[in-house]
Amino acid sequence: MAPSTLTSLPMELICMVASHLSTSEYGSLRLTCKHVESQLFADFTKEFFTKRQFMLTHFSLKTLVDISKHPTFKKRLTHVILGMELFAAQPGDSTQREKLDRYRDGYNDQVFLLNTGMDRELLTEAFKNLENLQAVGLRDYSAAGRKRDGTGWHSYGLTTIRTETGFYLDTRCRTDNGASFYPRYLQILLYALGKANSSPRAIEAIFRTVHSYNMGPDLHIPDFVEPIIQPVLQQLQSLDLKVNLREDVGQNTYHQTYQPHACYGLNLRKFLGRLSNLTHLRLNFRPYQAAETDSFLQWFSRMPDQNTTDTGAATTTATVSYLPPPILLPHLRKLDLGSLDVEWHALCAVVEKYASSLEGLSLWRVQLVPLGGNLTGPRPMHWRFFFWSLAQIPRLQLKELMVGMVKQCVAEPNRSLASIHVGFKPPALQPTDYPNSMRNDDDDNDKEVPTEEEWSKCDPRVEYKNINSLQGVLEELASRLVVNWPKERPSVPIHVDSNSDEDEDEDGSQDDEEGDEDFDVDEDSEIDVAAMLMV
Amino acid sequence: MAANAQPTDAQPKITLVSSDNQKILVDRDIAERSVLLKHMIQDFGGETPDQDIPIHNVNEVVLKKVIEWCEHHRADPPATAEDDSDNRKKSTDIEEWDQKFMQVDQEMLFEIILAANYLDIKPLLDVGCKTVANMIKGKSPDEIRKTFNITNDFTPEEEDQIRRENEWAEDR
Repeated sequence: MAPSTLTSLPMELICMVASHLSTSEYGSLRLTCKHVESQLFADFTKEFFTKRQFMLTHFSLKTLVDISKHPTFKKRLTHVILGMELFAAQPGDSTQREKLDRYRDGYNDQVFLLNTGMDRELLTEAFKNLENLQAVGLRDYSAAGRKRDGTGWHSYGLTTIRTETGFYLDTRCRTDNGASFYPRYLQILLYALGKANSSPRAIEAIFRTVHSYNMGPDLHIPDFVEPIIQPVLQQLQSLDLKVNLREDVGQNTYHQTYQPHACYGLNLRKFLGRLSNLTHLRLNFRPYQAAETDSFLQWFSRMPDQNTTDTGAATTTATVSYLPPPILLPHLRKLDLGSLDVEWHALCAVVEKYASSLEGLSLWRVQLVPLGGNLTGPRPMHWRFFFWSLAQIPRLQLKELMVGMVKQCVAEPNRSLASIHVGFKPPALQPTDYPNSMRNDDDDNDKEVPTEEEWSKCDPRVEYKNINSLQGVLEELASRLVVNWPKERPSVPIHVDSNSDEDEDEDGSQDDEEGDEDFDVDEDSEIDVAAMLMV
Repeated sequence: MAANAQPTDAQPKITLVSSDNQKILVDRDIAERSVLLKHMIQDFGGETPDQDIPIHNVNEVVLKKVIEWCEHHRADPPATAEDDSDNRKKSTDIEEWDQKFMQVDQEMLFEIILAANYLDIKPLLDVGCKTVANMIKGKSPDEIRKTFNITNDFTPEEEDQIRRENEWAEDR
């Protein structure tokens, strides 16, 4: 028998050795000989060419095109993400003249790329080549977890720019010095996909930076481009967006001319109307926009054949005809709503509309608010009302239910509104541990203020899977509910918690190489008594 | 670690037979560092098997070396999934005793790795793979070839192609 050496190791052991190397060392190992390279190739392809992030620079997109021409990678690259990094007109001060010049060049190159539409051309070329494109996404951050190198999964090209210019690129869309551009990423992606006749099943826009980007205008699909983009939207099964309803009131002066109430999320409404095959919808909103959310969800919960009467007393017939009619997403199976303030009836109405098709519901950072001073008792348990109402919906057969980082808003005696965290007691071992949880009117107002110890045992997030009896789960949730009523009131100063804008993120799916798509990491520590102001 | 070990005379013994037909007597808890042997022993209904257990793929020299490692690590807590992900982060960390243990010729090193893989001794396999990784780290392709006596059989075109793929993979 030949003496054992590196090349005599079976594939999985060579890969195991390679797992301890940095990417460039891994590359060197690949270059040693054909046998080693062939043993590593499947592993190498899976790690680097399944899901990758690029950005709107020529270097980055050209690499995407090159990858899309590779005989193996063109089949394996299923998930393309566009990072939103942009050069700024004014990068800041640098003493290194050469680096500053490089940055200026980079800025001008990017402006050219975007102004001439070369970005879209390159994306189209790549999308044409990628045979199994499943998902496209937008991100304003680099995912962590590139463990090999101890870095993140940056947009391709970002690290080079940082090395060559000494500057970090920002993902904030800026309009400084008038010389700026404001790429409408989703429109670029959709148009490129349409031109390439490519129809991924999922589109996701995941933003971590607060107020970085207003998605609304991106959702406008002009009539003249409909034949190109509509086939893409028609086949879309999964959509994950973050929207600011307040800014998404259309391109013109709707909100001045008419009741803003009628047209919050106007572009979003029209956009959703195009997605007749959607099975999974995840929408992250903005907190502290209860009126806007209410307007949108009222529309969203309406059936298409119902009369559209509540568009506001002052609206004219002309306005109504401009407004998108109610829609039905006939295949909607999973609905995730995050970062929104809403009145529980409105939320319930949405679930009720989709009761016959809905199998999964996630509510993340949802705050239930009383609208119009509708306060039920001194300490209403809004979430309990909500769970009870869900239990009343006929045909509702949820298989999965997740509720996390939720709050409720209550009126303080001084008429200000306080935002209070809601948690869940550990599940009881015996159902009898929760006597009379349901339908006990005396129980509507929970006078109990949890002790610190009780509260510390509460879970900010609950998840149920493979639900057999939804009634039972909702009953359990209603009884596990704990509202962390303030001990002493109302001395807590009211402040707007503008920092808690973390979205419901991707569900760290098992096949996610990056391992960073944590749904709720770091969230638990954040339980503070944030007060909020209402519109 | 070794200090925590139980006294050996209290242990039931198991007889392993190497691929070159040599009998080696080991304490049961040492044999059970190997998940393969642990499962075999369980298949005997939890009783210490009194018959010989053949280890077809490992010769006496390597088997003794593996047993030496198991003896030193007999009291280690069982590895958990968390340890695994940790290992990857500080990949080159190898404890001193293990480093010395792995100072063997290359043939023996790879034999140990193959034996650890066959016997399913994950921590030993890890140490072995890390040792090999450390021999690769910081080296050019040519230096790696020299280290492991590998002949470059790529055409210049193939090399270019792989170099390009490597660049696409890197954090550029």
